[in-house]
Amino acid sequence: MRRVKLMEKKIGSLILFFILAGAVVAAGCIGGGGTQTSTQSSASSTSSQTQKEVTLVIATPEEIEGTDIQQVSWANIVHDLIFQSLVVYTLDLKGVVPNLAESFEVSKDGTEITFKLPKDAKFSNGDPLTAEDIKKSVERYRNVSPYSEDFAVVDKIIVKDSQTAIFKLKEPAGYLWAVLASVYGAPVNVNLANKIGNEAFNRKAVGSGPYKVEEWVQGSQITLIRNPDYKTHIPFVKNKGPFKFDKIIVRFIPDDFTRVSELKAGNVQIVFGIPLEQVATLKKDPNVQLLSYLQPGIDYIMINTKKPPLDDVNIRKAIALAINRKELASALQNLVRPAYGYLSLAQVGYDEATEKELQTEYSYNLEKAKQLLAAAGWKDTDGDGIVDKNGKPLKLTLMVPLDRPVIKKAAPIIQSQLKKLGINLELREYEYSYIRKMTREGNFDMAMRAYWWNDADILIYIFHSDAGYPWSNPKVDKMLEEARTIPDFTERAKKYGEIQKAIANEMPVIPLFSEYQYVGVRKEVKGVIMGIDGSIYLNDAEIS
Amino acid sequence: MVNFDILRSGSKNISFKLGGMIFLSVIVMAIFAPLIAPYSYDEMHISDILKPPSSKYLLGTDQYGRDIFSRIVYGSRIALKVGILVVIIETVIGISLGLLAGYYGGKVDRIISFITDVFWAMPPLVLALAVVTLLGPGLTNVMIAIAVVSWAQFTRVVRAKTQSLKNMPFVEAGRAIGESDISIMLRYILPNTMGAIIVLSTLALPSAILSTTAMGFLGLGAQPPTPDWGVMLSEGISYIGTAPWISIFPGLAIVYTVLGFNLLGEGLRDILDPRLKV
Amino acid sequence: MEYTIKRLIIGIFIVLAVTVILFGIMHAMPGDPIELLAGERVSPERIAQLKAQWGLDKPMYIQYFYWLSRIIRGDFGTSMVTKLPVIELIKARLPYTLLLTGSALIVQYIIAIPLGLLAALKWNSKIDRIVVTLSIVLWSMPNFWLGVLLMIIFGIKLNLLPLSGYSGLKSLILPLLTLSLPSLAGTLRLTRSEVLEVLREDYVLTAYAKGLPKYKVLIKHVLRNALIPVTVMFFLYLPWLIGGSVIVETVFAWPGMGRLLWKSITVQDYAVVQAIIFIIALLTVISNTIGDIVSAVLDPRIRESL
Repeated sequence: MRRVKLMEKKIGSLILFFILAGAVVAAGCIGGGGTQTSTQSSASSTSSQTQKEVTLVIATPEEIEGTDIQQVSWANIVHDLIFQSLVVYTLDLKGVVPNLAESFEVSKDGTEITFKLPKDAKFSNGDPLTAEDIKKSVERYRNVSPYSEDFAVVDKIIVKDSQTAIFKLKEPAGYLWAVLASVYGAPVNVNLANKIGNEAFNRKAVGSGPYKVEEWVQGSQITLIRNPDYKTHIPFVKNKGPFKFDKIIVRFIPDDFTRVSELKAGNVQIVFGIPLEQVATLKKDPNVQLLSYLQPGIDYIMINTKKPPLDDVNIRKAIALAINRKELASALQNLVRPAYGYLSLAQVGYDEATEKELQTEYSYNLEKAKQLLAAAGWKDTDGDGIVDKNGKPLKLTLMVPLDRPVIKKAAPIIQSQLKKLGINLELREYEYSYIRKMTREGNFDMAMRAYWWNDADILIYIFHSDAGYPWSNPKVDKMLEEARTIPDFTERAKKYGEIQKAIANEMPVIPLFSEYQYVGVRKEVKGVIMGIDGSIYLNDAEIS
Repeated sequence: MVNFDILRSGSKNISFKLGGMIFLSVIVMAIFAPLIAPYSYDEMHISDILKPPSSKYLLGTDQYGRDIFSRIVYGSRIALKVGILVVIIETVIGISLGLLAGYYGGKVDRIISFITDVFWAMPPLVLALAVVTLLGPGLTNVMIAIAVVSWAQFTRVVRAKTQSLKNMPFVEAGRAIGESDISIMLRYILPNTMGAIIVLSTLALPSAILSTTAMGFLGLGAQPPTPDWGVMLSEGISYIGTAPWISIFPGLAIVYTVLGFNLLGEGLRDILDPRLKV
Repeated sequence: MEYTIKRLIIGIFIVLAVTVILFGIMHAMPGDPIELLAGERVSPERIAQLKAQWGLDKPMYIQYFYWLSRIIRGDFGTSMVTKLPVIELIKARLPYTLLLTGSALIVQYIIAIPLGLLAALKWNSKIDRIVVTLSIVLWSMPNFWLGVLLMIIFGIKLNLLPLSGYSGLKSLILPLLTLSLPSLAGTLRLTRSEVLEVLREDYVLTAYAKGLPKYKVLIKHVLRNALIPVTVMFFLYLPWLIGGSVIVETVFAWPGMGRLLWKSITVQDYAVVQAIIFIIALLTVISNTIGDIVSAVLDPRIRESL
């Protein structure tokens, strides 16, 4: 009995020791490792730029994969702050203006683009930025990035002198601007990347953007400090020099509710990814201004045109006509814009006339839809509300992306709309990337998908026969390839108008809508500029 | 001074009675759902989305204009189905393995214990996520995942009890008359482990319901338009500012049901307790 | 001693089995990680290229062997998503998880054990019934609901506490409460029922009859024996300290292991998942063995059946 008592005492104290030790070690690790600035104090700090450090806190839903724009598969505000593209689109996407480049020129035949860099261009770590670095950057992109084919049309880059880079293209390529004007095409400090290795560079990449990486606390946030050498040539911002915040902290807050609560509480000044449900409340909040932009792209239903009965174009058109986009929009609190064409007005190549035409032809018409079904032999013979043919009811499955909230919300409504047409639609929720894979493999009936890219060229990745989806059409293939080479913005848009009409004629994809995206900004932050495709410019921003 | 001779029947029966009433009410709701609910659970009234409780919609409407009261009533079917099915799967697997391992010992025991330990060593939510991702979305697969994750606890307990019971005199007696092993396990050992099994079951049932709720919150739950309380709850959280009733009522429904099962379990346990002390 | 060694050897096999099962599940999952990483603009050829880069084009058992041989040497592999070494990801998140789960465990035991004891002693009194009812209610709540409620009350309405993320010890409070309150109930009820059981044992009666002072009886006999299952459960909980709680970490944006593990599974970042599961399985085996030894030492009845 005695021995047990002693043992038990020892074990008991051992337990206690471990717990305490663990807690101390944990606290120590955190205390020593991270320099956590309390976010609450920075929110209340007023603009005393001379003495106190002014910090801006931004929140995004997802943590970045890495800081190196050439190694990640998606970019967000962090990359926009670290890197600087040669050019940017104008706010209305109608043209291109210089950013890092002082000026640029396109040759008459469209196969040469010459960029001129400012004499004293530098990377944020002080290294000089010359035309040679531009060349090296594109080469590295081709090797390292998952989107390496973005620059496929560039034959070679000639370094005329340390400030002049000439891009020689295999053919005129209006769509190349989409890459050059986006953060993906921004130059990175390749010399540094080669010196410290890709892994280290992904942790602390260096570009020529307004900020540099100070510290990335995995899972939590990334702290950026101002680049005092930053200069831009963008005409529509007033401040062409360094930004007004000493520091910017980008916090990763995955839970929607939490992220918005932090905005309301004032702990975070800018919040990306405002969920649908919170828009109404935030609109009424006196401390918050909501900036909105339309999705550069559309959400749509892709149909497996090889699988009967969906191989019949009339069935597809019937489904398209049975979808009441107005009802969808109102159920989604009018936070989406119905789409009848394949491009949104936040994309280069959008043509208003085409959109109107397609709207007239394909807007909601349940009667016509029923007629089309009946003409194809589908009637409700047993009175159960579902049409049938040869004894088989019309039952289809729709793959729904569970990680795209707005699309997910629309699915049950579409389900009930198609029920009125007499189609039994079953919903299956999967991860978006899985859906993309299944559609590529032809393993589906119908699937809900979306694209986000501010240029119409994205259509080639969906509708061209090389893209690997069930439907293709050699005429459309040719038109898509031709459209790439048109340099003039308006002419290109017209071509894409024809393409859209040709596609709609066979309806392999039913456009649904474009989502309005909202960015929440505290009232005290002034000077935030946003383009129609959601590009954000904080050059003039400051806390009042 | 504690009095050891007080019978439990006093207040613990309140727990049993209360738990029993709650349990019965949920069952009634589930069975008579079409009679109780004014609307069907997937009926959308697009012009009436996000409406607060009123005479037309007792507990308000959700983001699709569906009547929340009706969805909660029909949702009781899902909750019960989930809870009961999961527990049945768990107990059947767990008990049989536990009996076999404890009774036969030796190699059988080693193999079964090994398997049990392997499953015990995997973090439950992680394993559940992996299983659901593997099998595909849907409530059935979520139930399978949760059962897969939690059967091990039954095996351990039953095994331990079986081990201590197998050398008891009445078991020896049974062997002496030539009863088959299975008969012995089922007639003598199993009844004596019932107490522990019931306790575990009454803990496992609400746990199963809460686990499915958690899975729903993390995006792996019933497919629309199934009125799963957990999914309703997690979808409603984002509307807490504008339409709090969307998540409050399913939340209350969950707490109510789980509470009921817990109380029932408490009561059952205390009633059975004196009988266990043989 | 011999028993311990035997257990540990079996333990190694258990760990291997766990990693094999999870490896199998992960690779059998529909979809593949490269596809997940790619955007719309990536061609099928580029995807195949990237796949080969990561060695995903080799048969499964070869991939498993590569992984095994590397982890034995301490190479935990690289994350496909962040391209960073897995060790770094783990090192960055582990302290936060330990802080949260460790303090939750402490709080739980500090509150639950005395309360359980109290409730058992004052069995059937008002205090007992209040404590039991409260713990049953707490145990019946979905924890993310509790978290959101706490966030609303203390973070927003009263504006007392930080809502999310790590910003010093104050930000620990809400996630700590959300994590510990529901499981506290479980420990409390277990303590209470064990104490009640022990209180009726003969040797306790004997001790009282012998005239020993009440508190001595309490500590020497009652508590010591009642705490055996609690102690064993503690060891069973240890591995969970590492895994963290996905739900609490999601709601409160806590930069911990739970969230990392969850995300890695959904995007099929094999290296991260395998490494973390390996660690957790290893710890589980070790702490289970310790737990069994402890319970054998403390409870002679169990010792007999070994």
